[in-house]
Amino acid sequence: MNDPVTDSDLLATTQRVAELARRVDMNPQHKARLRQELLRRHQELSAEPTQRAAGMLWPRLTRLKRLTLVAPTALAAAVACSILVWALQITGHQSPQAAEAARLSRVLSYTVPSVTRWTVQVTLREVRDNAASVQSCSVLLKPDERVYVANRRAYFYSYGKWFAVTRATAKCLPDWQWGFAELAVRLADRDHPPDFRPAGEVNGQPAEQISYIVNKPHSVQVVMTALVDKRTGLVRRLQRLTIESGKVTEQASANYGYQRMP
Amino acid sequence: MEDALHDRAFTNRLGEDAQDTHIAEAAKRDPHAFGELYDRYYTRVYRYTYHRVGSAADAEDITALVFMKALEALPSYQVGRNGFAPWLFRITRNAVVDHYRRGKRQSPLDDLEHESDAADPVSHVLDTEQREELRSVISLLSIEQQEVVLMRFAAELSFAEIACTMRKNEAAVRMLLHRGLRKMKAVLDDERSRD
Repeated sequence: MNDPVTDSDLLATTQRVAELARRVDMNPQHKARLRQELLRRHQELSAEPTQRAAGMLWPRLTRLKRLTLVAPTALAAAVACSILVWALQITGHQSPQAAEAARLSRVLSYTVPSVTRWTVQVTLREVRDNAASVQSCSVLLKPDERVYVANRRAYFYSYGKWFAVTRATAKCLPDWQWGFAELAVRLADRDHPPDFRPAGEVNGQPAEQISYIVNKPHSVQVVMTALVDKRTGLVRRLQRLTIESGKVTEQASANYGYQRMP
Repeated sequence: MEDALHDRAFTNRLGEDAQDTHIAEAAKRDPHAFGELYDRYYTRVYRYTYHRVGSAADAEDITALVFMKALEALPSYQVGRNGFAPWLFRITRNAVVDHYRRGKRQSPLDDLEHESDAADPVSHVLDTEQREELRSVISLLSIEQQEVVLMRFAAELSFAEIACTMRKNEAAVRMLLHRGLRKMKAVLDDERSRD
């Protein structure tokens, strides 16, 4: 076989293809905007040492195929926290965690209606075949549309009509679109109260990590971990670990960005 | 032009790749280092993606996803294992595959709506025709041949980098490129003789 770079017969074709391949119009605004967004996200990730460390741990463990050793530990820790909170509640005292849940619910009730646009970027990893995919969506509310949190439930108001926020009302990424509104429901869950932990700062604001377990049929358990801005109650990052019969089958994470009314 | 044709001209780029590897290590902590990597690779990732998907809007979305994913995965990037370019282009290649899996192919009309930087309409039409020329010729190649041709000429990767990205040996990459160029030459010659 002749070498394609020295084959004189192909030289003209090679030159033509190289010229055409390089001739592409690019939008400099897109390049600048993306650069800005990436640097902001880098700072956000740097401010999340726990998240970052976890991110470094997972790939190593994936290679070692020892995920199943970690999942029960994470699950056991989450269950132990739930039992502790439940024990405190039946003694009649409001635990610090319950007080924080109530505070965040109040905060959410006035920050959520100010959200006019939000973006979600989801990274999904199938543990079984070690495949990953990334999806994103952007939701822009119309002028007479709002999301409300009241009585620890989330509602979507659109031109005079009210809808309970569910997966069915999502226009894209049904499991994730309403992630920030879903938190209000989880905060009110007395059967599976969430676990709170401080999580440093996100975008210069104090944040906390909130974990809760969702039980699904057929021995499937889902451990959700939200990184929440303490000041606004808005979810910045949501992680989901799906466990079937004690084995992690899927891990996913979503990053949220918001635009709010001034 | 010469840079894209002769592997010898990639010598400087190989030096750059060693630099990129160090910058990538620094970028794990330093946002400015990540910004530098972005500046070095944006055009190459965009061009490769654009020619694979054929739409400026999709190419912008995929390029954004590639860099977001690279940022998230950077802590797992191991210096010295592979070069930075093959690592980044494996992410790019997977993102393009995901795009097609989701069935988000755009009609060629989308691309005609893309605004050219060219000020006068004649240049714009010529640019569009030339892009169409490349797309119509490349679409006749196998997927692997398309990948090699575009990694070589749009992304300006060396044969070693392409081999590493595609997990093939260099001889196989050269063979794919040679066959791809032969096929393209036949089509272009045929078109010229008809003109």
